[in-house]
Amino acid sequence: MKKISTLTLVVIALIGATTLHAQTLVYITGSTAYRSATENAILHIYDATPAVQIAFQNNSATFQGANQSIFVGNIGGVAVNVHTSWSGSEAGIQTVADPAQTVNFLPDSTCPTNCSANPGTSVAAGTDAHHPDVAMSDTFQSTSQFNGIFRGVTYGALSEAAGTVAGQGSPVGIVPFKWCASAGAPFTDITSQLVRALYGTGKLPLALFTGNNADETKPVVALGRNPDSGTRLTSFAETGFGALHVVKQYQPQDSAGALVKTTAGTISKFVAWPAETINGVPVGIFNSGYSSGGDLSKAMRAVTTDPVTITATSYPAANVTRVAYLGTSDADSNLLSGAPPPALGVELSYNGVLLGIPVAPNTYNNVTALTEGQYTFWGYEHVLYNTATIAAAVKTVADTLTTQLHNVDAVVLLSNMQVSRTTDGSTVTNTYATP
Amino acid sequence: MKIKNLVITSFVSLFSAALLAVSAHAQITSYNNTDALFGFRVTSGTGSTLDGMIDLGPASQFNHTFTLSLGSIGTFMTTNFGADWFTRIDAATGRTSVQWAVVADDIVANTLWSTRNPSLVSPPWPRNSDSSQSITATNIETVAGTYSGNPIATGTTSAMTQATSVANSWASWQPGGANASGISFATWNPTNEGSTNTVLAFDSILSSNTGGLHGTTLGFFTWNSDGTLTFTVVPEPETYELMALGAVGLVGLQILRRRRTVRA
Repeated sequence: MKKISTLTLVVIALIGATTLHAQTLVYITGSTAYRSATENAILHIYDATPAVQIAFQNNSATFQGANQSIFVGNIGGVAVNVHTSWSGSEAGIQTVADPAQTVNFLPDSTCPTNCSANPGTSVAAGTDAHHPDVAMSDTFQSTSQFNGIFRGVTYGALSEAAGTVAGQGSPVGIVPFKWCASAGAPFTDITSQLVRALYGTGKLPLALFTGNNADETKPVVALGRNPDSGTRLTSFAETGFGALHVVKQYQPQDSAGALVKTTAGTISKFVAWPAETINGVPVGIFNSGYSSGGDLSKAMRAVTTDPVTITATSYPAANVTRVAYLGTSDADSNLLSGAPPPALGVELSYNGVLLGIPVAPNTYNNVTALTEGQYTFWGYEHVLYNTATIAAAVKTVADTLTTQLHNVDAVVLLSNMQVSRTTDGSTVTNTYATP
Repeated sequence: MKIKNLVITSFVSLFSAALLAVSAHAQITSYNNTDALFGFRVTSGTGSTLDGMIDLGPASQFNHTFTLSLGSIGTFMTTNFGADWFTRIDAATGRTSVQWAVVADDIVANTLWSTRNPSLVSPPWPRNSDSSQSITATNIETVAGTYSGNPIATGTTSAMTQATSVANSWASWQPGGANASGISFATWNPTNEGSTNTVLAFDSILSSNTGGLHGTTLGFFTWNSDGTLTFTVVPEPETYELMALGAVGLVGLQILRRRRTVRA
């Protein structure tokens, strides 16, 4: 009798296991700048019925801004769980191209108990470690340091996702960026030259931005992302500093010495960003930064004490301006719009051209400064996977997502662009016949 | 019993081999801020698509005369850059094909160190503003980023080679390189390099917001034909004063001896 019971349990367990295997599990990582667009595209590729169930990490009020999320439902009638974990484009390339790397995701067990239909349920961060299948990247892999052999590790060549229809593969769209300053900044423009000077020194006299000699004693402080960020690589490729150039960036800290990463934080001092090791790669003092564009954009809006300290020197708060590079989603939602306080930050024009925030129902697709090539602070968004190792069912989902982004959900559709470039930071030229 | 011993011996051998393998994997280059980077590029002949770098350790050590232990650096040079690496002349430039220099930076204090060919450039390199030297420091750190984490060449203490085509390679920051703006590290005009047989001065360059000041020459590097590198320190002024005092004392003693001899 006991043997029969055991046998029954084994059979039930096997059936359960088979059911689990029947689901396609997809793990996506990479760009925080394209997080919102990709999350929306994932939502849109799911079948309408049964309604897709969603859970997301509680660092954000919505799944579009969360660091992690899980979607459970059917895509084309096939049961699929899509997991996302966003930590930056370069981290995405690194972890997908190196089979030994894993990323933490929300576990499948999150659903159904803690999941719900759109807009989903907020949950604590997950620690379910998996090797990711797909990287969303703001840069070409050729720009990344995780390309071939780096620090003794061989990073496999990743392919641009093919899409489900010829001509609708990766790159899937345009990813525009913005230079921003903290509230009260007495200047409205930044040039490539100023970017190189600011990020080569960490801080510059305000006079270089205003042309006013009374501003020679007032500092402008550089804030930014760590080297895992595609936004960072694009920023320094675009400005001619060099995608992989070492930079000097400060870390805003509160009075207890903790990193400020919310708009509710209060910055009492700026210190050289400490040396750290990220995914096994050591990053020297000054050269690191925020792991998330969302956190950086919030720190840009946080208030400072008066006075505020930069390394060992004290300055009146009104004399200190912060500058950072951000994706449009993070910049627009956390720094440039929303109800004050704290006061809104300032979007800077880049080399004299302002991108601006499109007024609904318009999108960046309608901003002709971008689509006609006047504003050049942008890159291509890539969906990357390893064709040699990706499972067929997972590749199908990745290609479906690619086509969805390409045709609908990209921040800016490629079809709207009247200009192109060949690689990150390269010259922008028209795609139509020159008159 | 014999079988048991054999099993134990095999296990120990395998374990040792595994340990060795781990050790071999652990032999990668590392770099710390203020380390001196000895770099060279090859403008013609064997190895002209490669450059090389060696971490010499902290720049602060260059305060006395010594020859650096770099391991089997002669063999490394011969293997990668040809048996004639030390004497081969690039017909296009008239200089040796191998051009070399040493640089270092303190990215926090914006202090720089660099070699200088005294026959080309004198006095020592100019001291520039903290902002200007900060830019150069990040340039050096960027090159150091391509050095760090690579396999150390067999038999050497910390040497590695890299393709000159690598973004931010040593060669890319020397005259003619993609990042150099025509001069070494976009800073030292015309170059901080020398031929293999050139004795290069090594300057310490503190930042200064006062124009017209120059760095201090700490000493001179000589790259020997066996690959070793010798640093000869410039005596500090106090040392010269002591030597002068000693000389005066010796002369005084001689005079005293002569007077005593004459009296006797």
